[in-house]
Amino acid sequence: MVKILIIEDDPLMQRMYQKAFGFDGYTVVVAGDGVEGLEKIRSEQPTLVLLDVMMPKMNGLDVLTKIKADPELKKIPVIMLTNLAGSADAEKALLMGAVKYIVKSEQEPKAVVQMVKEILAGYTRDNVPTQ
Amino acid sequence: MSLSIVCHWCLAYSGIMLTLAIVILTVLANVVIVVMALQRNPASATHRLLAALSVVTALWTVFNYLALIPNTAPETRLFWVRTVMFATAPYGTIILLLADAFPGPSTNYGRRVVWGLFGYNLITAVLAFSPWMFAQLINTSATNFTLRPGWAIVVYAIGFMGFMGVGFAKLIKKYRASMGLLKTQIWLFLIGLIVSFTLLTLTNFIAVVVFGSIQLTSLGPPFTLVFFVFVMYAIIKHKLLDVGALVVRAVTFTMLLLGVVGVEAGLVWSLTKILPEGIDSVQVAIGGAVAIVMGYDTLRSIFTKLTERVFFRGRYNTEGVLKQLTRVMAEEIEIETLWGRLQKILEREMKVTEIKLEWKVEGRERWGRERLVFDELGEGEQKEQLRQAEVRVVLPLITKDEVVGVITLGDKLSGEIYSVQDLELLEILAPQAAVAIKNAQSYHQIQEFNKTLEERVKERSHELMAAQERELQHTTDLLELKNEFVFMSSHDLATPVAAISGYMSLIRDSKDKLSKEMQNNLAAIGESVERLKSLVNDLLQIARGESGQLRVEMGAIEPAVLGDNVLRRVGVLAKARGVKLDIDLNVAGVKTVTSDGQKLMEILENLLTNAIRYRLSDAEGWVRVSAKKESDKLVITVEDNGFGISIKEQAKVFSKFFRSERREVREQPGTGLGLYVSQMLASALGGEISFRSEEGKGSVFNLSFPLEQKPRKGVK
Repeated sequence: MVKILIIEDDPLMQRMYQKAFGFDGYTVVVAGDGVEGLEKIRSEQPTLVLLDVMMPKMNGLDVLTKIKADPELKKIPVIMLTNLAGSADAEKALLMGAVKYIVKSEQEPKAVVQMVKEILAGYTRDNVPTQ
Repeated sequence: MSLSIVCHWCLAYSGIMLTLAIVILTVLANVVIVVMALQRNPASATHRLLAALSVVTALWTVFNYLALIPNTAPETRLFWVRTVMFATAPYGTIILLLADAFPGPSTNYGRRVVWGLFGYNLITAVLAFSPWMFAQLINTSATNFTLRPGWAIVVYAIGFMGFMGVGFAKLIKKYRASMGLLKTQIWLFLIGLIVSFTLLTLTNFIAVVVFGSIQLTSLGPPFTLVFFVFVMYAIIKHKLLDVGALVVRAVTFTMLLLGVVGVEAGLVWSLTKILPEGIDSVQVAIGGAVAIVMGYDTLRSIFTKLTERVFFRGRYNTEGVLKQLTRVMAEEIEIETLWGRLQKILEREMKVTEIKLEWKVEGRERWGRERLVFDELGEGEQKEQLRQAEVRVVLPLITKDEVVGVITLGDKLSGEIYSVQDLELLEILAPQAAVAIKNAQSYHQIQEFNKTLEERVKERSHELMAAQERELQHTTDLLELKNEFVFMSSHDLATPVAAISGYMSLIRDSKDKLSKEMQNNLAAIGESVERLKSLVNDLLQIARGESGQLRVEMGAIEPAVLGDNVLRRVGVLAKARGVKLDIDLNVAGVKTVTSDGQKLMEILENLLTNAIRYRLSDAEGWVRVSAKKESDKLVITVEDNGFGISIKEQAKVFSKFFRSERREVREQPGTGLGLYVSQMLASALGGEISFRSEEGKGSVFNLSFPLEQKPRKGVK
């Protein structure tokens, strides 16, 4: 059973992705901010994490840093969600170990699910395309 | 043949040869004084009286000698004695007047008093030839005689000793009242006068008249030499009569003459003693004269050296020093260096402790406009000031009636006072130095002025720069604030827009069947959302571009693939508008280019959207996109047959928020940001967009950008 953790502060977006992944039969867990997200990663042990960059309490990059610093969690693939195309944060996230970043306004939910599917199908950190 | 005559006297009266030599010496010495005194200042009473005194002394010496010649008949002797009395009658008066005038140019006595005194002398002189002064002269031996004085001798004594006594008293009084150089001069003069005249009065008057002895009268002339020596000393060392330089030559020649006479006389005298009889003394004298003529040059140089060593120790060559000074003044323009060098030369040559120049405005007027010499000043405030400042000479430098500086000199190293030569040198130097210093000052002022000007300019530019910086900072702050605002707005807008389009896609993909009308409405929403998205994206790009945060991500791009992607993005729109779209970006020999695919997409999407939208409604619309290689650039051309851009509006096409005034354009949705953002992105890629357009016919837009380029970031 594949479990996706969506860490996203905007409830509309949260629900949208939850629905999209739900359609395809994924188990979806959500968290509304970075702190809660970190807790859920530990408690739920998801297969993959969708992580928003701009969030209250703890932003996505900090959450990513914590994940990658934890030997038990660092193997979990993380996809960054961002509002804006071409932002510096997204690139930084890739350098820090995220497998991909997705500009929310540019990809329809269905496309996002498709990407996740592809990543999980052939996942190894090294041969995942960055864009 | 005067020498020969003298020598006959020598031979005949070898006993009184010394007396004769002294007579000659005395006469010469007095002639020297007369010449110097009259040459220097014939109008001054002191000079004239001193000359008169010397004339009388010389005459007296000669007559006295004649009276003493051995084996002279009593009548002749009496005549000469009377002549002596006659000639010396004005002695007292001269000394009295001299004492009164010394060292000034006139006496305090009125004309009547002076004539009265000389009248008295005249009476005495007349009486001298009467039997009432000396009644009789009796020769007691070949060289001695006695005189019988009469009552008139008292008249003479009053005129001589009385007047002289008053003169002495006057001088003593004057001496006590005087100061400085004058005091020294008076002292020397007084001592010379008192010593010599007291002595000669004793030997030549008291002894003769009171004791009836003429044995001592031959000492008279040497006593006047005492006076001569003192006066000379005062002249040379203390500037008496101001005759300095003249003295050098006079003394040299006097001594030379004496030396010649002495040597010749000694030679002739000794030779006639040694040589065998038969050789005429005249021949000997001539021989001696020849020998002296031969040795004249040697003698002269010996005497010159001798006199210079005695009188002019530490002398320098005025002309040479002036030449050095003039050269320095011609060479230097920097005031400090100029003065430094002048000072060195003056100190070395004049041997002075401290020579200073005051050329600044505050100090240079301090001593006034007159040359001051400490030793010449009478006691007073000015002299006290000089003493306190340890200044001995003040030399104002005046040019064109302006005091440009003042040179002050301290003590001479020798401790002596300043010589006439020193003062002459300074006098000549002053006007030249004034001009040189004035020039140097002008130069200095120009330099100072330049410096001040430079400082002022610097100060001003500094202020200006600071103001500019403040202004710039202000502007930058505003710009930053604006960009931050745009950035934040874009970000906050992006989320809801993403949510709308996301949910719309969910609806589209849902299995629920939608009515046709609902589908149309949904499509309308979709189009609006797309526009909103691109508006948000444009704003974001502008904010980034203007704040220098536009990021370029270079990668390998295949033009053909780019064409496909563009077609995918605008295909729907073209179809909807009924525009025939032809995209072919294949270029022979160009497989890939290095650029930012995302940005190229955005530019082309903008260009194509415009081309598709703004078409003429009554014609069949088409848009052609092609590419070609131009040297190291790729040029993508977007050509349409739309309504084009009017010439009037062509210049504004790339401005922010520019939209055409055409009705057709106004009817279309749009923000006026598309071409502005496209041009910005193109320049971020190192390229540019150009166009040509004809109203009613269509437009051609060319995007050119480098085929290869190094990745770069942060292009503004």
